[in-house]
Amino acid sequence: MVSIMRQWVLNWFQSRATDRDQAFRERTIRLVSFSLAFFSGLSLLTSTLLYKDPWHQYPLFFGSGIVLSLLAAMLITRGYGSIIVITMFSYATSIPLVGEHDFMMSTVILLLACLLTHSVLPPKAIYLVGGVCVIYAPVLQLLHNQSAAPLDTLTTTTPLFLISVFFLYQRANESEQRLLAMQQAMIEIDQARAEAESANQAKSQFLAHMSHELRTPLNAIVGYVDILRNGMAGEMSDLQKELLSNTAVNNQRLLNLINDVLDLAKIESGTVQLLETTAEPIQIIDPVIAAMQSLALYKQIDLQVKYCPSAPQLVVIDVRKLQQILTNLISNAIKFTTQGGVYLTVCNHETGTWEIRVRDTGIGMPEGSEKLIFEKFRQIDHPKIREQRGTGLGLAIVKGLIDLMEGSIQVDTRLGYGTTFIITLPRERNALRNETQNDVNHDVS
Amino acid sequence: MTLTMMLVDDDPDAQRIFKLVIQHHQHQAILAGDAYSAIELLQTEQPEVIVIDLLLPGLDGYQTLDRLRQLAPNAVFVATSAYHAVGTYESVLLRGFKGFLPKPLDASIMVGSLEAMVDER
Repeated sequence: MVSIMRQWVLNWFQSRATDRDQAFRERTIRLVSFSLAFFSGLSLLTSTLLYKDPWHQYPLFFGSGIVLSLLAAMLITRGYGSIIVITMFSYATSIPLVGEHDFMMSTVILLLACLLTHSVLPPKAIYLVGGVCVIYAPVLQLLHNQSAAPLDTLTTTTPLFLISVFFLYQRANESEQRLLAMQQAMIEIDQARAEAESANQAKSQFLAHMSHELRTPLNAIVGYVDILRNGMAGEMSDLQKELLSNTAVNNQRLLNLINDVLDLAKIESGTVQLLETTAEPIQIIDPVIAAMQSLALYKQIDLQVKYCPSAPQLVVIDVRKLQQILTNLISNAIKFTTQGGVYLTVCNHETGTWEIRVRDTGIGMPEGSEKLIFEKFRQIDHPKIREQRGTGLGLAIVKGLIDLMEGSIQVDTRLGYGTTFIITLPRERNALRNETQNDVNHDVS
Repeated sequence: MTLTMMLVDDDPDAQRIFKLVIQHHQHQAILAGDAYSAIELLQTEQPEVIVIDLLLPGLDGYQTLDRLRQLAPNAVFVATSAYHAVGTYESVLLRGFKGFLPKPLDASIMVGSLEAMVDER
């Protein structure tokens, strides 16, 4: 019987907690097995001594105590504690109503209450409450002059209390270990985050430094080529001028790449600050269109902007950064468009937001590229796209800036039919609004 | 009208290019490698324009601006840097420069924009 119980307890422990400390599990199993054997023997001995009959009522009381406590512990640890609470509470409230002074059962109820509250009470308090429970019923029974009853009750409540304490101790230990493990994990996460952040900072600093080192000699090359091309060092032949122009174009490409890397590094390291002002969308967007018009004319395509009647009158935004975003998107659109044109629409969106659509009638992109294009150094692999050598960083910068502005960007594209970028921006950032409100409150106080 | 334009930059190539472009437009160029030689030069020279690189050895561009402004209160101060990312332009203006010339200096428009800033003054 005891060995079967032991086997059962062992299986139960192993199946429900494989991650627990092996030594602790062994110790708990030993304690529970030992207490089962000890109290079984004790109750048999008590029955024999008192009634000359080892199978008198005490082993039954005792057995019911063990079974009840194990059942309760099992249900509690599996999350069905509330069922016991409801059942036992109904039973306990029924006792005074029917006039039965069943103190044994009220003790059992109190002990179960201890078991159930162990998750909120500290372990020491539970031992105390449990201990009080064990003597509570016998004392009450003595007060009621039920001379034989205290022994009955004690036989049931003692194993119940001890077994309950074992489980409570185990649970408390377990949750303490979990808490420690969790704290440890939190510390590790913090460390990892700090390391990642400092690595990111170091990377950004390195990129910024390298960009500067790369740019200094390149600037000298660009400067000298410019002086030669502009005839500031004497007249040049047409061929010489043409070759120098080719040099200049490639210089510019290299410079763009370095600038983009630096911009992206700054955005990623979180050192870019927004300089927000209140502005009219038309004042932000029209200058960009005007500046890009010559590019569109050169390719003989349209470049137009349309403002919906619902377009917001005023927005709070970093004007230069929005212009940088639009310049990037429009120059991209012009680059990939040979017929038709690039069309912007500015409209009101949902509450508190507005949107800018940049639609082109260019070559479009294959399906599935929508997710890839905002990644760094990612260009869609298509012969027509490949011949337009960009840096592959423009859209990553656009995405980074829009994220910073708490907006979002989506793309709708079809190969051969063109691409539409949809930017949604808040009319005023939440963070900014809160700051302003705080300022106002501060002023009032 | 011939203007005197000073460049404070430790890069000899930048100095050479600046000088060639300025002289091509019939202006006079003065070159300084750092804030201290600029201060020395200002004892004898009165440039209308002072272009300061933001990354200088010793005193940086902003500190140099503060020193030189006391010596040449009427000059137009312009910042230049190869290190221009998002936000550089704004911070340069906020710190008291009249303008910003991103490097590489564009030979065809640089002198024109410097002349315009002198006219505005």
